[in-house]
Amino acid sequence: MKNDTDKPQNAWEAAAANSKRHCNELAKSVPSWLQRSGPHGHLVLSTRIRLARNLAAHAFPNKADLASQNKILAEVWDALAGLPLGASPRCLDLSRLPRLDREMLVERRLASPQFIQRKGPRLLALNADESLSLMINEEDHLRLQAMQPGLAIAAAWEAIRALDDQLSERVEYAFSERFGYLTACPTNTGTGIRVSVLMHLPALALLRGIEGAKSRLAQHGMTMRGFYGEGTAASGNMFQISNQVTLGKSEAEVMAVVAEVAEDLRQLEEHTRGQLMTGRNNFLLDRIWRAYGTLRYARMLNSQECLDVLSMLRLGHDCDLEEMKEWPLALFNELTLMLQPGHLRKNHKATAGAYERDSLRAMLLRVKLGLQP
Amino acid sequence: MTCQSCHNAEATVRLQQVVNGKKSEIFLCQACAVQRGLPSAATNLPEFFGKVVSSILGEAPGKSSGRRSRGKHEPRKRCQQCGLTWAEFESGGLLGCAACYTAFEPVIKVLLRNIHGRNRHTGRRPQRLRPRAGKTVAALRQELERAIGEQKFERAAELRDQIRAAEQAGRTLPPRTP
Repeated sequence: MKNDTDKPQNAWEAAAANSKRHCNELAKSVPSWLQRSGPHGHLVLSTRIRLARNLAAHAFPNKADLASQNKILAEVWDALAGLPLGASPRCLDLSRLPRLDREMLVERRLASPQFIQRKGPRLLALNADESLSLMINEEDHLRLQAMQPGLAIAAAWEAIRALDDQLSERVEYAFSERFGYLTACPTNTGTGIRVSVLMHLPALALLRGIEGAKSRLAQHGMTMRGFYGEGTAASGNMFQISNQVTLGKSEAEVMAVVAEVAEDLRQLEEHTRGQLMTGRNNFLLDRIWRAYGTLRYARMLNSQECLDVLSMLRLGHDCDLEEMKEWPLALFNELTLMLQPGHLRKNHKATAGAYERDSLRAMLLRVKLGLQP
Repeated sequence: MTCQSCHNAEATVRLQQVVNGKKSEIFLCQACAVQRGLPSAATNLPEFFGKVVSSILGEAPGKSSGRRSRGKHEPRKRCQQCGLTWAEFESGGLLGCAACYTAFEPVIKVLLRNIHGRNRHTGRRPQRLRPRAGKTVAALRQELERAIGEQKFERAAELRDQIRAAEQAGRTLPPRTP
């Protein structure tokens, strides 16, 4: 068992010595990639591409013994030097971080819920603006991730392709001509690519029900996941659409289908909003103004209700309502992240209990949106 | 579209099956899909996946035996590299190492085809495996023609993929995004 006071044996151990400090800094700030506005930023929060990769020389993490898991960390960390993650990527040692810090990383979508629950040595490496990151020893040895604001598949691809290409010159990936990149779960075999677009679709959810949209996705071999990825629920009318098929289609083909479907859903959402705002528009306005009332007068808000309120206020903003149109989109993105329970607890020590947290959340929301505290 | 099983609810799941090389497709609602052992949004995929590996492979009673002959599955067969048995994979849903793909290749081929609709990679290759010069692509083309001439179609398909990958390498165009 390694002791924290031991002298670091590897480069990654030295780099990971500041894991806790990195987490404290992360929790205080909004990722800078999220502060930029992206294409169709009012409907599309973010685009994410991840690639699953394994090293040829080691068993996959679920079968690798402790010694090889540690070797994997060392090999990958050493290979990362000078790559697109930046001169000194931040290195977070998950096994040293308390649960709260790990949950905060899930809220920032830097770590998957599965990754923070795993046992054993595992690292998260990330660049300065958090747009490019790498989970080491997740279900696969490597999960590369690129994030971009708005609907920006091409930009995310450029970033992740560069990292993947350079990494593949320094480490030997598990790859077969027949099956492509070999992954622990056969659902990722082949390209190992997952392209996800996080969309705000309140009108579709209200008027048509999201089930209709889901069946459209299924016809394209795609699926709708929750806010934090696989196996998580949708909140605040945020839906994450992503590809399922990873084998037999090239990366470009997969990206083209996701781009097409995202654009399709975007147009459908815009069209539905148009329908809702003409004629019997009180149906929609009622929801928006109720949310505004909640924002003004509620004294306690749990995170679910907060996301729902933010969703309707964002819609009010998009519909150019006088009281809401001045709020910048970046503020909505910031609040969506910073009012999550993990971030609140990290940044406000006195919010360990749900009562304190929900009260603070209601207050912060009012203050941030320029209303009386 | 309504569910083609209960004809009541909206269909949200597309189930594709390939039996003896013949593809069939059915649209189901979530409830009917779960009834048939398909995942719901809340399912942990690897775990779910392990549980239905045998059903994906068509070993449930009354299913076609055509696939079984091609992808014969032996629960006690073991990967020599990492020691994973097929039975372990079925219960956990995860393979143990790269060599598992070779150890269980016949049955993996069937499995991958049932998951993805195809079982041959057509995407990118690691940088170090990519042909460096145009000459290499030309050589691959010559070999492809030879393979077709000799009716070695399995090899021809491999070569075709390599040529395609070589041509795509370095100029994989991302899709147009608005």
